Amino acid sequence: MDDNQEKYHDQIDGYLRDELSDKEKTLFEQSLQEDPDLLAEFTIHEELFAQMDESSWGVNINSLDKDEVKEVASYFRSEEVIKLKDTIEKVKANYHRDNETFLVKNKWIIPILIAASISLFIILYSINFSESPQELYAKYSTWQDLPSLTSRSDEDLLAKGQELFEEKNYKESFLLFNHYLKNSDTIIPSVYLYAGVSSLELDKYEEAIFYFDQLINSNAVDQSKGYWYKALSFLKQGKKEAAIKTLNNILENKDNYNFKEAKNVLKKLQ
Amino acid sequence: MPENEYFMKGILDSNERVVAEIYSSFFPKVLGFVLNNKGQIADAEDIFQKVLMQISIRIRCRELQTINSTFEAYLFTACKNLWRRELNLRKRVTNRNIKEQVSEETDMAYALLEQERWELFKEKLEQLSDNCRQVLALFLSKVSYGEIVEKLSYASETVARQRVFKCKAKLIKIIKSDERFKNLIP
Repeated sequence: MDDNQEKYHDQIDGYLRDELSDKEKTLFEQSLQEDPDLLAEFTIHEELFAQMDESSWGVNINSLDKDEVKEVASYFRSEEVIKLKDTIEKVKANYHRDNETFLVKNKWIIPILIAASISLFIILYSINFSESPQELYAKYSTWQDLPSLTSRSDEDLLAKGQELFEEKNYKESFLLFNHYLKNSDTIIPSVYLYAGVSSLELDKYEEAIFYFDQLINSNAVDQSKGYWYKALSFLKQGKKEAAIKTLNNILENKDNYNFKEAKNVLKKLQ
Repeated sequence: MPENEYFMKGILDSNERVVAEIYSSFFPKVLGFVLNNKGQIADAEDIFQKVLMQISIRIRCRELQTINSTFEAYLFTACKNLWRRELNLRKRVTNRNIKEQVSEETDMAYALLEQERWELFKEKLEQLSDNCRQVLALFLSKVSYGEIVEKLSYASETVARQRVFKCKAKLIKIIKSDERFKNLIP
């Protein structure tokens, strides 16, 4: 095996360090299929490179033994592990409760909290509880919840778009995302959101709703985000009835994005 | 370390008091890491839980007998790796517009096996000399030989190449001689 190591050393390194021409690459891949010793040596090299490269962690999983994976997966279904999972769930719930109530344990803070809540109560009671669509829009149009696009390291364009968006340069970000969507054949749900919100900021309501509808009609996991942002588009225009209708779409399923917020906004609209 | 054994036994027995201690002592740091790296609270909770399950299985069925660092360092590294893996997988899913087809348990099994391999690799790397580790780190990160010569002050590229070859051969040899390596080659 050590002889092979020396013999194959340069080819394998060249391949894994991206130093070969396309033609050399193809040749190498061919010899990989024909030469089991080379393949064995290659596998361990590939592993070494993968372990060093954080950006490929978990992506290079083809070389794991399938039976072993099955066996380990069955451990995750075992009684003991399920019991541990339940214990963790319980601990987690307690942990949250404790964190929320730690203020109360401080005795001196209670009178202050009571005083504060009384004055807050008075303030809240003296103003009207229902809020106008535009007020609600202003409250929720912070855009902090938009997913980041910069993790897609292969897409400099998208990172640039996000940057423009964050600088509130919506005109440019709109152009960029619009261009991207027209020329891309894969569906990237987050890009629809950015395109839509950029349009919304420019008061291009038709475009905004078009993009959010695209998201709603896609089979993306977070497809329901489309409803929320579509509702915001109606709120900004003061279209109360349309907003209510869209918010009701969110209430159809508890797992929909911003289910609770949608409920709150509906209450305040009525 | 007696503290490690205490935590490991607590996990193994699903002891609520010990698990609560683990949660309140170590979760905040993991949460901080995840929030700083594109994650939410729910993500941090999810990976923390998965890592504890992973440790339990590794003690019970995978011959994890001792943890050589502190328990905190071990737990944190495992969480970091799992979160990095999760981010990489998400990236891949959005890139190719596919949904993962495997069950959650299968996915956790992959994560566990990858963690084991990573530890094997780190452990073996530690056994090399400082110089070997340095040159291999650069080489495996695809740094060009020109730069390697400059950074580590080698006399020439030929010298650097010889050094890489020797260090790599040594690393591969000690990895291969480890019992746990047998599953690596398909």
